[in-house]
Amino acid sequence: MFNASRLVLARKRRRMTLAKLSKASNISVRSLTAFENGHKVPSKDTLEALANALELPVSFFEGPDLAEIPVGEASFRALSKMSALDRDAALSAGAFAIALAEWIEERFDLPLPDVPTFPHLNPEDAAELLRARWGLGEAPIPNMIHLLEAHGVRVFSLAADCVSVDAFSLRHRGKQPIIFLNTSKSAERSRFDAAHELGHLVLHSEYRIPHGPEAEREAQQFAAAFLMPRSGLLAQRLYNPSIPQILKAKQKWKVAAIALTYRLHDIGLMSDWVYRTTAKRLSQMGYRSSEPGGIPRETSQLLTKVLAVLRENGISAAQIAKSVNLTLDELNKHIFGLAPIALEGGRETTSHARPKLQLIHDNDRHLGRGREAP
Amino acid sequence: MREVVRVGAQASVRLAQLGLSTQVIHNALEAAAADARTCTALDAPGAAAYLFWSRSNRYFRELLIPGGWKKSNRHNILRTIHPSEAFAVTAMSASKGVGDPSRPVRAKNPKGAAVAELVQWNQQLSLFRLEDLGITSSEEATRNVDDIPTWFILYRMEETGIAVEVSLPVEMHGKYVDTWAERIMVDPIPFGDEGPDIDINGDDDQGPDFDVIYKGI
Repeated sequence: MFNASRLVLARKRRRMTLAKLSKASNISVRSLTAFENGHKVPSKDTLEALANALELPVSFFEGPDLAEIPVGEASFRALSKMSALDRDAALSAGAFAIALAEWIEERFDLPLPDVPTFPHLNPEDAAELLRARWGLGEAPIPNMIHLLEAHGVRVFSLAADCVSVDAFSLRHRGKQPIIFLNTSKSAERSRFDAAHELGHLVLHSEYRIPHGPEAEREAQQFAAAFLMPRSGLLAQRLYNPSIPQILKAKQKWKVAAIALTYRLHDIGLMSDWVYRTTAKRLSQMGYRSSEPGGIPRETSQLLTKVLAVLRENGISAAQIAKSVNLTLDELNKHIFGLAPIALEGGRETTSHARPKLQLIHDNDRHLGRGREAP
Repeated sequence: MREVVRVGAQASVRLAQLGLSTQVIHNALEAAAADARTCTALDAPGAAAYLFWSRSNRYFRELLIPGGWKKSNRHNILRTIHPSEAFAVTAMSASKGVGDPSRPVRAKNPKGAAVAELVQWNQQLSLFRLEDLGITSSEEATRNVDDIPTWFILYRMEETGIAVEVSLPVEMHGKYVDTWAERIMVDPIPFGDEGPDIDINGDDDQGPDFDVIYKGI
């Protein structure tokens, strides 16, 4: 049975206005409005045209309501600068990923959520307390994604067509923490994003849910303190360090050189002048826009294990996609860079380069079989 | 004239009297060295040395001027003047022996009349009140830059790093400044110094491991 709310979600996911969808599907705006309002139900042919235009299987439009993410529930960076289309596309992509998460949840016992909330603490204290609560001491965090997943946070990839959003997080239904990461950034920046979103989950909850620059600044401070604890840096005697010292220390803490420089200045280990000249020089060396000699990308332990177990039980990625009423291409967008990606012929890869997948519009296009471009 | 050489704690105390520190000297010279390293074989011959000299003086000024120091480029001598106006400092390259109390040292390049005059004036001042140099009260300090002693921050690029000392020149032989009333030894700046040992091994650790249990649905 046709589900009007899914049509709205799919259109937002594709960043389409009614006019744009009308043009892509050859269906009038008036009819589309009637479908979305639930006043009319599309015919089989019309539904196929919509599915085609929105690059989703027909079955997608016949599933139960998806858990939509209210705008106020997610923590976005620079929300005021974001277009409504970008924001809605990211939230809709989030709803798709949540459908996948719920499908997995029904089939697996997974780590339970264990992310405390400290809305009464400043970011530095909250990061310190969380480190203590999770037994991390003052040591570097080997893998942010594994750490989050071990404490019950579900991590998904922010679909490539939503990367302008950077990253966002939420507590689904007020309980399940979920983080969406831009996996096309450097590994160091992705770790910082993950810690930033953890900051939102820890600090901005319960009675205190600020948005805007203040919330973002707090999340940044939390991320820096969580990844680079003050005591750990003091123990290294990184007083006004030289560039080689910074480049060595950043490997230990697995952070961007610029982020470490900022942190050292912030906690008083680097004078204003040394900070300015170091930041300028790192910028000249290319560390502002990228991370030369960076660490390998972190991947999802949870998704990798889940996909492996399913595969052992004869359930392919294409079958998972079909079960959640998505194309394989769409499914891949939500786990890209985090877990092995299914390719044609059963091969899998964790390639860091985004694979060139394309839909095959033949009779079984609704299975959305992907293949590598020649 | 008997040369006074200060090393270790004595050197630190003397630097502090002059309003300087090893940290400031290292910061300025490291930054200048990084700039000089941007020069290639396609630059003008001597460009790196010129850039190092210009930038080391610039970075000293950037670090010291917020503390009340002033600058003077009179006679093309890049002097940074102490807030009391009792003395000035200028960075310049030196020959082998810089930073080594057991060896003599001289400014690397031949100098002209302006530096000769400066050195002569340093000598006259030092005959009368060497111990007072650099610690004159601010009431006495409103002077022409040519009327105050100028200390040289001598540096030399060695194979292993940058050797450095702060010295008060008082005599020249020929066109070379090579006689000092006082030499303050500063710790050298080793190249490739990665600071205190940082253990970056143990990268196999991938954080906590957990189970996902298939319910078989």
